[in-house]
Amino acid sequence: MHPIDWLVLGLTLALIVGYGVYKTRKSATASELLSGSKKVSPWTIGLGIMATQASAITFLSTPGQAFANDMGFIQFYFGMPLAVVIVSAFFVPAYRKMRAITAYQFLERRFDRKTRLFTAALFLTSRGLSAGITIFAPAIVLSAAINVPLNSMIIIIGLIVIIYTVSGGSAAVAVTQKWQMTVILVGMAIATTILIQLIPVSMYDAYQIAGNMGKLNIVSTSFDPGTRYTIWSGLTGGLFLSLSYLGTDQSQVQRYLGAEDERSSKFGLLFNATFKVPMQFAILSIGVFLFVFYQFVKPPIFFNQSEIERAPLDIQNQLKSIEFEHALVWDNKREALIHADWKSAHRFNDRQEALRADYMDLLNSNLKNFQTKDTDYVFITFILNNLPNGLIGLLLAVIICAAMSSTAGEVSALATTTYVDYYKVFFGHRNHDEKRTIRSLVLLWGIAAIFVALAAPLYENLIQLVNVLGSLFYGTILGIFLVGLFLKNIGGNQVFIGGFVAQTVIFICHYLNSQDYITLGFLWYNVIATFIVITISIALNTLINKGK
Amino acid sequence: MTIKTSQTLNWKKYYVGVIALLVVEIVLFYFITRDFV
Repeated sequence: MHPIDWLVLGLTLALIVGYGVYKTRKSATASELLSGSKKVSPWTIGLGIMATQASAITFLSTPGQAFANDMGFIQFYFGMPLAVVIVSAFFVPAYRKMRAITAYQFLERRFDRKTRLFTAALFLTSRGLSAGITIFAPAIVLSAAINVPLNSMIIIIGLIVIIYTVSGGSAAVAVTQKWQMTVILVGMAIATTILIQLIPVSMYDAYQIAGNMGKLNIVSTSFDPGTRYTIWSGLTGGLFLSLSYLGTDQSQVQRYLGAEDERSSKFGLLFNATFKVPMQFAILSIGVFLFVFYQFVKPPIFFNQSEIERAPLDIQNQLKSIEFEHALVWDNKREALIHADWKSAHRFNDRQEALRADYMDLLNSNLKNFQTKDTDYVFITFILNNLPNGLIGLLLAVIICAAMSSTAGEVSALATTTYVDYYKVFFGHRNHDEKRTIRSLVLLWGIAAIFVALAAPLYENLIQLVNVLGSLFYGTILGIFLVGLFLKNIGGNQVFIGGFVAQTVIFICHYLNSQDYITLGFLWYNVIATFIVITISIALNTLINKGK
Repeated sequence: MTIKTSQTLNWKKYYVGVIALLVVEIVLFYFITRDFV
């Protein structure tokens, strides 16, 4: 990487971190460390909610999804605006009325202490592990792309986050997220503009190529359960997931409860509902533009070059011969596209896919722990090979900013929940330095996230596990909150038993799923667990009432 | 002069607004998809 890129990258990160530390160095009270400064605008709240959601892998993986498949992934976000309306109308007033710092405080007020501690423990388990993966996932891509050792990359990202989150807590997270999101939006806009400029055909032709090659399939009305993203799964499964995430996950709740009043909290959420789908559409569009670009500029057959470099010499020669044939087919496909001969273009595309499959088979059978997924490397390959010096540094800053903003939001939420829902409950009566205790907890969770990220490569299935972690716990948590908000006559014991049974059933389902005894999509865990909590709570309540 | 608070604001208007925006987006996406199917 050119020194100018290192300079831009270093300066951007230093300015944001420095700003976060400076703005909160004197004023940070215990309350601000826990839930942020109340003097922030609804825009900052909205950007904070978005910044926590958008991890670095969002900006690396999402364009890759559209590049390799189509834009159907956007349907996953259709449930979010609906969830925002429900959270804004029911969850926010309930939290604000009792001046809650964490979502789980509401559960003690509504039910009892054990339900609060149980639900907070579910959150700490799932979010604690996923905070590590929020660092690990982009670090592995960045380290391969810019030749920095993986462990150094993890420690650098983790330490930067720790510096300003320990210093200014939730308040520093809020002020830095605003600027991180600004850098992300500006950087992505510049990259998209350059990408469009580099496509050698008009936008109309680019649109025709993308559409005829199947990249503009956005909405699927299929009822086939095998189709992963449809309008139906987006509006139902997406609604459930977004409802749990926005309404009960402290990393989100903390952002909007950090607002001065209920009005600002709601506007922050509505900001998210307004811009989330267009933002995801814009990110997926980058993948489509990349697809068109690589129809005119020869792409590598496999985008993760560091994996190819690991292959032994005799295999390299076999790979080269496949690359040669792939290049010939690519030339023919380009000609077919220029003449709008879609039938031939599809035929050559299928041949390219077959050659790519042979290439990957060869690597897979000759490399230990071969990473077959290269879609995360498509956008970063374009950045490194096609952007001018200086802008490469800015785009790398975009990716690291995204990693930092989501990790900081998570680490801060973990510390706040540990302090408010456990420390204050069990040791709150003792004299203690509040600010020091909160900062120590932030530091501990930050170090824990780094350790999870460092340990991730040792466990092949960890990433897969963390991908399902949200679904493993979210359903139970959502079920408990829905009972609390909408079924006013149900007490703590009933919902606690319901939650415990639901969580046990989901663990059993997951075990059976992993052993191939049953086949069940992870998204269904959310629906099943929520249903079990509500059903058991109602059934137990009816039994108790009959007994009286 | 009336100062708008969370209670006096007509939130329904905003909720209908974001849902209407979602509907418009889905219809637009549907037509883009249909162009090539």
